[in-house]
Amino acid sequence: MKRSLIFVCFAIALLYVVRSIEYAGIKKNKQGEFAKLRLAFEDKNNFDLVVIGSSRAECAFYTPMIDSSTGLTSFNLGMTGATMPFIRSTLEAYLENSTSPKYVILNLDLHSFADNPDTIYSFPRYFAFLNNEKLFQGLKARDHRFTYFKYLPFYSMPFYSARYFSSSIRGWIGKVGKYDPDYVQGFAPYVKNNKMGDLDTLSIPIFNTPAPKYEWDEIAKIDSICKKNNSKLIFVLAPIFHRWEVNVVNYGQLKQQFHSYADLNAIPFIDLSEDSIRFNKELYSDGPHLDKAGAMLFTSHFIQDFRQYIRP
Amino acid sequence: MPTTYYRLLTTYFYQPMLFNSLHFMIFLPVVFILHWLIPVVWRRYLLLAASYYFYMSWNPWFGILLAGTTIIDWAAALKIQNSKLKIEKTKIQIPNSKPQINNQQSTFNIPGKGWLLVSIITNLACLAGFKYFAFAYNTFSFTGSLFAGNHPHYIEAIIIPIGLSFYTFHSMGYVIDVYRGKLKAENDLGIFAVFVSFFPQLVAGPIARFTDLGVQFHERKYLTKENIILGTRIALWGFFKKIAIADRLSDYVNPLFNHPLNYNGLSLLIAGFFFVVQVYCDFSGYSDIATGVAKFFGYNLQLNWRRPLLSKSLIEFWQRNHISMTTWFRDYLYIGLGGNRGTYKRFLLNVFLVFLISGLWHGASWTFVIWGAMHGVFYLIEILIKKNSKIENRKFGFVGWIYLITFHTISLIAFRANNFSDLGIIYSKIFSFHWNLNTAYLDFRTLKDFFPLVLALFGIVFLFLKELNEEYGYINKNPYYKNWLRPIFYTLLFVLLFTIGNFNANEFIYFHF
Repeated sequence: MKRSLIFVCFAIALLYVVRSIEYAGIKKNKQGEFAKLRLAFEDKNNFDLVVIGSSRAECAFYTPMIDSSTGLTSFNLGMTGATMPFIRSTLEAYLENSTSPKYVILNLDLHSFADNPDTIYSFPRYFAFLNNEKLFQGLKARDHRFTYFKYLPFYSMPFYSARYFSSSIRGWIGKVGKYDPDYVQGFAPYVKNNKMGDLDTLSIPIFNTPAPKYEWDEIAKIDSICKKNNSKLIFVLAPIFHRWEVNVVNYGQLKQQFHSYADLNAIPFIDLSEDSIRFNKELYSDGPHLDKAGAMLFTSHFIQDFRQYIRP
Repeated sequence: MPTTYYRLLTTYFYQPMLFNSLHFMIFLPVVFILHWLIPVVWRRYLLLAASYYFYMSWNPWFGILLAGTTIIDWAAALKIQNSKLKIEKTKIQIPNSKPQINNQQSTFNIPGKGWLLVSIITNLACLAGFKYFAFAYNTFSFTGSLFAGNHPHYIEAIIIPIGLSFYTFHSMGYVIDVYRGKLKAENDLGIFAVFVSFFPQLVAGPIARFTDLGVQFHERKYLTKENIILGTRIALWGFFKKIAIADRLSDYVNPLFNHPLNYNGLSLLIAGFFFVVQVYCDFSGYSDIATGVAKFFGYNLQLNWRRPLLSKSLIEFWQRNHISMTTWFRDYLYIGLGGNRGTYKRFLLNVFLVFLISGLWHGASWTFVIWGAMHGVFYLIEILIKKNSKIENRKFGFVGWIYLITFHTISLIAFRANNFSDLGIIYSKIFSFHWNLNTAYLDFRTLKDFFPLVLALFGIVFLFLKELNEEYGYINKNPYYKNWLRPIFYTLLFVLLFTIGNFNANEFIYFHF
């Protein structure tokens, strides 16, 4: 029995070792999704401008263009599927190791308030970065299992698919994955779903959920974090495809509410929701998400409006 | 806080209980601890309650069906025994008298035959109603439409209660054994019910015999170190086969069989081979986990698989493959049909019929019948070759193994094909021999990332090495094997399971048989 216990302990210890090796490999990726997460949550950065938001922010702000046009250094911290509570956590987690940016650009989503704010999309991708305390706390607040994910490999590893394992091996051997080069300074193009159908004829759901209380609370917290770190918070509303816009039945009302909030708290608001981009389906991957060409055009429009806020 | 608990409950406890689910990972330790803490007399009832909870997690209504068939078979067996005892008593009361045989008596007057028929009809009616009704209806509808010239009307299959074919066979086999006088009927309904529903083997076998498993519920069981270690080893290997091999391979098998038109003949043949390994690892993995889990409670289940993929002929294959099913069909169907007691032609026909029916047992579709027929034909060919030549004892070795794997792959394609027309497409593509290695490579490459395929191939190599060692004992003879090599192997297996396993669980394939 004693020998058996020794082997059981050895097996568990080995599992921890294997997991550490796996995580180390993941963090060694120089390009791609995991390189972005490492840069955001582990590296010491000194970016002037940071974009926060959901996948809409991630695929809309083409950061290399911001750098070349403004002379600032920028990073896109947009995270797939992030709702406002998690967006706030990503900003806090970024600030854990990096210096405060001069500008924090918060891209708003007015069509997704019906989403469960506790849902974390692709949650296993954060496992390797749970040593960032703010990130861990943010994730744990949304999903209680993150405590187990952090400390118990036999609980977390089953959620790790071969994709993460292969990313780790790629990290160790220094190979770049098929989709890794798509990521540039946090920007990642939204992959078009060819099975989705034509944007002009596709049936679209109706969105009519009002902005919940937690949305305002979280925005207030983000504002407070920015003020504390001497960063200028700017709201941006990227356009959604015009047929989607029509289906967000309370879109005008929501925009008005956010404008009022911005005015009340002296937060600049770059509202590009009525940009002509929204009529061109060729610039969208799906209703709310721009494709790469759309992102470049949108970013150029954003820069035009943003210049007025650049401090010397 | 209540919301968190509610979420926890809905996430874990209102889901079907797969062996590789978190629900089962919580269920098993709870039942294990309770089992060894409570008084001995209550243990079988705890196992009964746990087994019904396990089964009803799939669908609460299934529990009623299980309980119904259990009660009917238990009562039928007792009635059969009582009928036999009455006859015996009558004989004892009239000493020196010859047995009274009435040539005019109907078969129903044979003691207990009526109750045997009640049991068989009930079980077969459940199988027919749930599993074969839609198949029979659609077949008749199609045949009728050929004569009437109209469009056939098809109906959807009814949801089959999980493991129906297994537990009906458990209890039907028991009643037949009582009828044949091989077994004394069980008086305790609780013991019979736990024998039928014992959760490790309830939904996918092994198909237990009362003489093997049922009698164990009368014995006092002890918690032993040996059982725990052996059970853990067997279950661990079962999990590895299921999660690290079968579920990885399914990612490459399913797309090809779901859209055979899009793929090259060679790709389909490779997918067929992958399916051979997948179905073996899936089913034997389940049996291993069941055997391991049963050992935790001190029970021994029948050996169900003896490395069938190392067989060198089809006859040998069926001596090693799904042994509990093969022996069930042998004892209750083949012998019932007359076995080898009639003419040689009749013997051959009986063998063929058993394969045909075993094909249909696996699934209500003509593709399964074709699979059974192919095995029947090749089995008969092997019997005839053995009879008519003097190569009976000659070892075929590697050539025999290649033949077996090739035949098994080709035949199992019929087992996996979604329907008759898909099967035609797959066979025509394979046997047109327009094979292209580059296209096959690209077919698999574009399905998914290359890396999971590498993991799957690693799993296959690992499986064959382990089984070769079990077969020939290469490493077992090493003096360090027991104390060092084996524990290290299982430690690595444990780590590999978590590192390369695919935990996005598929159901076990045999659940629906």
